[in-house]
Amino acid sequence: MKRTRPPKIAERILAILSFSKNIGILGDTEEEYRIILSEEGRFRANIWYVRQIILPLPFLILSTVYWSYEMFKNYLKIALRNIRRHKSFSFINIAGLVMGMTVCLFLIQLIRYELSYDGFHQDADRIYRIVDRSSSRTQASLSKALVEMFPEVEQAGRVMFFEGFLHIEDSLIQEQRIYFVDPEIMEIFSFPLEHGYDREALSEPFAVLITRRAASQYFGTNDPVGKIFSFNNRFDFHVKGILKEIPENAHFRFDFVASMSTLKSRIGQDFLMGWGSREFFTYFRLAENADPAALANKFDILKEKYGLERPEYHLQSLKKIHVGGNLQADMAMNTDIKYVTILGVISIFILLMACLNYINLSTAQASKRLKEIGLRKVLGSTRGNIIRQFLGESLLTAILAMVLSLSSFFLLLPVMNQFWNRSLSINIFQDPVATFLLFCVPLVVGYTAGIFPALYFSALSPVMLARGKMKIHGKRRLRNGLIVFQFVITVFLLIGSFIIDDQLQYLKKKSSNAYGEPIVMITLNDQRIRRNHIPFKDALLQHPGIVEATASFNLPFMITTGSWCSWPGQIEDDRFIIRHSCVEHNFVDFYQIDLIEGRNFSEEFSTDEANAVLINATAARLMGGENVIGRTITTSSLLQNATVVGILEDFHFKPLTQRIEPLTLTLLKDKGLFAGVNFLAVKMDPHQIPEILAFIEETWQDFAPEYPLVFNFMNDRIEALYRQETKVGEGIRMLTIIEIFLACLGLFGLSLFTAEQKTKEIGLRKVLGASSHSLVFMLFRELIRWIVFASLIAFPLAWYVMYRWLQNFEYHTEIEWTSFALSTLMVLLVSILTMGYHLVRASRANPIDTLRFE
Amino acid sequence: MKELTKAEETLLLTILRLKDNAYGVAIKRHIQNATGKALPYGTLYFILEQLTKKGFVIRFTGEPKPERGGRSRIYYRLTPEGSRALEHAYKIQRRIWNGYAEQIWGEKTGK
Repeated sequence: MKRTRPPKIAERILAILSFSKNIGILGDTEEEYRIILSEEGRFRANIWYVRQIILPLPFLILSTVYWSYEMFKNYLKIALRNIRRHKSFSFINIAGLVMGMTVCLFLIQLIRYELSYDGFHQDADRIYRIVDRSSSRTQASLSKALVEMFPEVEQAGRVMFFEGFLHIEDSLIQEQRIYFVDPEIMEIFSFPLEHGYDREALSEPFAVLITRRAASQYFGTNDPVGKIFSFNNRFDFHVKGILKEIPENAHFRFDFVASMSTLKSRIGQDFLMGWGSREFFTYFRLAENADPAALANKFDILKEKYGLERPEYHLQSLKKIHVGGNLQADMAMNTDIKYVTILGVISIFILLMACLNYINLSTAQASKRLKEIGLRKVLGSTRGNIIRQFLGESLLTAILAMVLSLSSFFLLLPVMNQFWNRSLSINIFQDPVATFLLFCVPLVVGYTAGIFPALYFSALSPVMLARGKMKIHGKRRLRNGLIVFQFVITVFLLIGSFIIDDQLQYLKKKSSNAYGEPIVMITLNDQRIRRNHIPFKDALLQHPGIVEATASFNLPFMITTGSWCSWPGQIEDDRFIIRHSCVEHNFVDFYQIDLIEGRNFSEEFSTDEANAVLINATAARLMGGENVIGRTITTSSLLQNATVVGILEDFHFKPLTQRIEPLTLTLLKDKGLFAGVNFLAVKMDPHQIPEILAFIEETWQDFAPEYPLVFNFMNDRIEALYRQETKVGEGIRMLTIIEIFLACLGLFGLSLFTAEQKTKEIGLRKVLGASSHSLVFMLFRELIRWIVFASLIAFPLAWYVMYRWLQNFEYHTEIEWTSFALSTLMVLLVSILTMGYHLVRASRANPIDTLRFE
Repeated sequence: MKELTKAEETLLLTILRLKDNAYGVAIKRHIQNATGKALPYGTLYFILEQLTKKGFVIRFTGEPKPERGGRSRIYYRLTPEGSRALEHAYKIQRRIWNGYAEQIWGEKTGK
């Protein structure tokens, strides 16, 4: 049969374009199509049909665009007019959103920055570090063993660092970190070599590579390649090449990196071999497609082969090292991703708060928009139109807020960078993910905040609107719900920041546990003083303000050196690692550590220096607990067998995040692994601190003129231990304050609304004899009810979360009920103050004014 | 009474002339023949819609036709108001043109 109907697709298009009610058009065109078909043929007919579609298109498009533009103009005008007319409401809405968005912008940048660490290395996905339980450092022979035993390990290498002094071109530089690495390290990582020798450079002893920054700082415009400089006046480094500047988002950053073989010729082969001490960071690159989990499972073979029982090796993927939190004696200050997540969650809550404020205020304002909506509906607006209008308004507000928060982000960025000690990029747009989020935030916020008012307004019927006043009972319940939710978050955050604060205070107090007078820790970086510190110490004690001084190998709150410990009659299973530090006779008295049993070191026993040892209660317990005094113990760090002379209380010689481990203390010695002292602690009269510091400086000049004096107050050093917790605490406090401010903004707006709405009720009540006081109480009663209810929800929540958080610390404060009471009280007080103005004014109003028009 | 536009006037006259056969294709073709210009369906139906709303024409649906793909023709017929509107328009036209026609064509013929 001959086809007589127009092409299907064309018909379909026409059907879409023509208004469905005009079914006439489709029929007519088909009928005419047939006439043309029979008169002029299919081709002509088809052309004619297509023309029917195309010809009206320009008009259709133009009119659609024109009318949407006209309506858009109207919506925009109304929206801007509303923003201008209700200044306080608009201010609250926009200010809230700006704050929420600014906080979010910072968090986006912060999280992205934290996650970007070490990503610049070419093989970042295949590079791993081996850590032993909570220690970032592993044994000397581990890297070699890895390559030998496991074919999937392509290359492995070690890194370690020393603090030291460099003599460069007549100037003396104190370097915190001079890194010593195996040559493989330079191949595992991709630090770009700017010029000089190839990567093999680090296979020879005394070879050093320096970064561009250090080169220009210390050598100026001269080409440093080929130059020689000395390290601690002990040996000379040869500069073999220059590396490009290492990005800041790297956990392994350096200015000087020297060959590991340098140490072999200086410290000795033993140090660089074997399984005794754990001093090295071990990195390796896995072959492509190799499974790291499979490798980790094979570590037992390695441990068996080398007779290692103790280590529990774990793999850390390179990119996760930075966010993996701080391990013991780690290379860089890392971030615990947990904390960043907490901040992220709080900032999302803040944004949510701002949205809730918006919802609350715009529905509260309903009465002011009722006439407009009624009119629009009467003039033919569909529900969709109204929804679009209100969504558009919230989007407009959100976009406005976004623009403002971008500017506040740029303004505040330097401050925040200083606070977090990061260099967050000012340029958000350089990164597609951040840019995408940037556009998403106002969209999401606009829709979240706008969808409820939009649905609410559009559902009102014009008949009800025409009646003017209307009761909105259901909506009140929702609004109260939102307020209670805000209070829950506020109370929760307040409790949280109180408890975090408590815990930080507890940590600091416990670590610096009543040392009495202020203590200054002098770092002994001069070899001569290190070897023989007594004359220096005696010179210092000449000053009447210096009460006492004691030298030690470690900082007394950071003893990380240690080794295996054994004693006669020990069962194999009892082997444990014992920490070890060398101290002077007066160490125990100086730090006011209690002696539980036995005696302190004493000058009267001449043998003490050679073989007396003090242990802590934990060590005594591990050794069986009874008759420990007088026992002989051996550790690889002691030169000979030692006799236990006394047992000390368990003082905190490590950060309080860690459990107290067994500890031995011996007197300082001239020989062995722990030869020399590193720190001299000086206890001084708190009233003469400036004078004493000047005196220490002078004395130091006499003894070691070529080295600068390096000292810290003990409390500062202790605080540095908890820097991350302190920062996070401060961050949370800051966010909490912003959050409370937002809640107040919302309350303020709402009280304005309540006061307006209840004007007549209050007037009536007054006429009937109510006093101002009872009215104020009536208005506040509701508020108090909300807060009490919110507290009841927030308390168990906060208790649970904070309880879990405190479990992170081996030693933590108890959760006090005062934090809870205080939080509720604070919220109550702040809200009463916020709402007070409007409510009191409303209750004071003269009923003549309010009821005049009834 | 509101003035009819030129297009409305033309359409009403066409419907009047086509009597029982006043539906889309016929109207369109008739106008095309009379004026020499094609009138798109969109415009045609828009005006018809206006006329219907003003109450000058009424619309009724015929039987489904196979040549329309099983769709019905939509017929239009003048209402008494439509007739009155046309009459009114004619009166106005006549009043406006009165005397001019002779003048214009008179001049032309007088050449």
